[in-house]
Amino acid sequence: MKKRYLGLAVYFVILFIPIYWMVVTSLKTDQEILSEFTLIPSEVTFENYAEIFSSEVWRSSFVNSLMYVLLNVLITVAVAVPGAYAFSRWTFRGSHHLFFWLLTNRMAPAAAFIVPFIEVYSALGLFDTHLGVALAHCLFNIPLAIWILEGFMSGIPREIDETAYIDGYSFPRFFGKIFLPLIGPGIGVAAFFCFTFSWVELILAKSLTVTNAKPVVVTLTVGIGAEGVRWGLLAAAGVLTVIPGAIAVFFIRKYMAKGFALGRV
Amino acid sequence: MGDWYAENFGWMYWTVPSALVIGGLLCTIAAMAVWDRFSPSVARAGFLPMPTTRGDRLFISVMSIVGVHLIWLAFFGTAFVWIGTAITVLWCVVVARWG
Amino acid sequence: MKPHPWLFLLPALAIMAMSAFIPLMTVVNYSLHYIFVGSEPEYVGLANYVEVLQDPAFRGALLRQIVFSLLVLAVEIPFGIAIALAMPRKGWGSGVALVLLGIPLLIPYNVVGIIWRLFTQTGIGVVPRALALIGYNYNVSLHQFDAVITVFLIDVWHWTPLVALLAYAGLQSIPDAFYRAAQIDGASAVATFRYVTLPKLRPVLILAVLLRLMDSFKIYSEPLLLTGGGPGNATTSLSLFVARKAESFELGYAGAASVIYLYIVILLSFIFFQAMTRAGEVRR
Repeated sequence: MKKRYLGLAVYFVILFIPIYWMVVTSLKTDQEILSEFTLIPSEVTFENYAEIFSSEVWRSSFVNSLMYVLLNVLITVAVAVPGAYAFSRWTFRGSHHLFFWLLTNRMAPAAAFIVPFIEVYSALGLFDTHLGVALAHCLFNIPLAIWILEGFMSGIPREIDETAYIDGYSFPRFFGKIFLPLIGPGIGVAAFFCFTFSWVELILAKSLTVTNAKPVVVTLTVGIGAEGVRWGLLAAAGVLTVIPGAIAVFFIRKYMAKGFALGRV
Repeated sequence: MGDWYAENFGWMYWTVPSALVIGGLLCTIAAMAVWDRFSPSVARAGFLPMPTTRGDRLFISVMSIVGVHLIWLAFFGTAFVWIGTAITVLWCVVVARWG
Repeated sequence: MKPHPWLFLLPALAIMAMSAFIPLMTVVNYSLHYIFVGSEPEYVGLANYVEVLQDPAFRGALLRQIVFSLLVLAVEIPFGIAIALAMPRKGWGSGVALVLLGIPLLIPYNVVGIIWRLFTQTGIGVVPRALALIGYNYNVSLHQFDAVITVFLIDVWHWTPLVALLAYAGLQSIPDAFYRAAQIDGASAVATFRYVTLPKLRPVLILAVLLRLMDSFKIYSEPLLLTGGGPGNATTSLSLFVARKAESFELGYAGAASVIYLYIVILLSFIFFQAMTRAGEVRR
């Protein structure tokens, strides 16, 4: 019994060493990072963070990221709620195949779609815009949201729909007043996962943006591999990038295990 | 018409053969939907490891056609690719009838 | 009057048409032509496919990708189950362990790359210094073996917690009565695991295998940020390879490679989808 927990503790320590290293690096001066090997910074500095907050490039890329991620979550939830309702309440012609096709888009590698994406969005005038990236991320987020929401909606008995009709509710009123509040947690979980996946996605965000909508994930990758990389700055940016996800997870911590089970499909 | 197409959709690189391939596939799916409208297909147990409807069997057939051709091309190139085609056509008939 | 299902699906399908269906058709078109940007496309049938399938670079990337994904499964699944078994069943310990497991999963892919870059970079990282103590000269940007092992360890580090979380959720759903019955029958610990725990975990494990297989199959950011796919081609994953071809505008080649890539993904999804339907994980 004791040995089991010891093993677990060792695993968690190993799990957190790399994260600890990033946080520590972000608090060191560039000179200390390169010259000595210290597990605890000899002199804690917040200069790296200060530099990010005062730099126009970093600030605007954080804002760009947040803009397209929030747009994406809005669009995804708005279209996935009715879509999931259709799948959870009806079995119609081709519904199985349609559902499977949607899911394969969650599995599909984004790398395979890069060039057509650039072409489609250039033709529509959406290249290098926030809306463009938000729509591109719908490729994997809409199937995901539909699957999560379908699971939540199927847990709500159909009798509720039918009782509402008998009570004389019109459909929009039933949907807004009764149904949406019932699946509130589901919408929260779906929104959280859409947020996370859009926030971390790199390939499409990189290919679809140049300057106007350049997101923070791309800014982070620029300069890597070059000589004289500012490691402290990079580490600080990494820490800042983790924070939105950490805040979001606080709100859905109760549903985490269930959400991950569905969310990663 | 031609200019308008080139300006707006030139990047899709449609040519007659590729339009035939994709159009054929889409028409097949549409035809299956219409057929199902007038005589709905019920899932049945055939020799395949799961019960299938007509649509499932179509999907399996298309996947087999693509898969066999890819393997053939990987090993032999385009030489005698019609042998692969013949094999898949036979297989598709078998799937459609007994799958 | 009850509204029609397709009406509800219309908005979702409209966006999917633009984000998935039109790009898919375009990729198929690319794959059937020789394309030089700005000139008329020339229809070449299956020539691009032959070129891709017989290209040692593509075969190499595909083979590396398959080996990598299988290794990932072989390590992460048993390891994840072991962690789940070791976790406390109830009390405050289980809550803490769950949150700790959740944290790595929430770190963006590219930040994972950065974390490990900082961790393994020669001159600033922990790993090279620690290994230098035992006389091993570790350098991800020079030694292929080091780079491959590191990308593999990144994936194990990042995603084993997911398998553990899933397995843990599965373990929680097994009623205690099953274990009591096994105890009364005098079953050994190994036999209990083999005949009680494992069968009950089946649906959730199929899900875990599917997730890990698919996501490891499209690994991109980690090798890109660690070494940019090098040294040589040692860590060039299939996604990285295809993305490079697309970025250099070899559209015919990239299109054919994409279709082959998609074919493999759809085939695997289909097989697992069937397995999951049978295990009762998915309704339809």
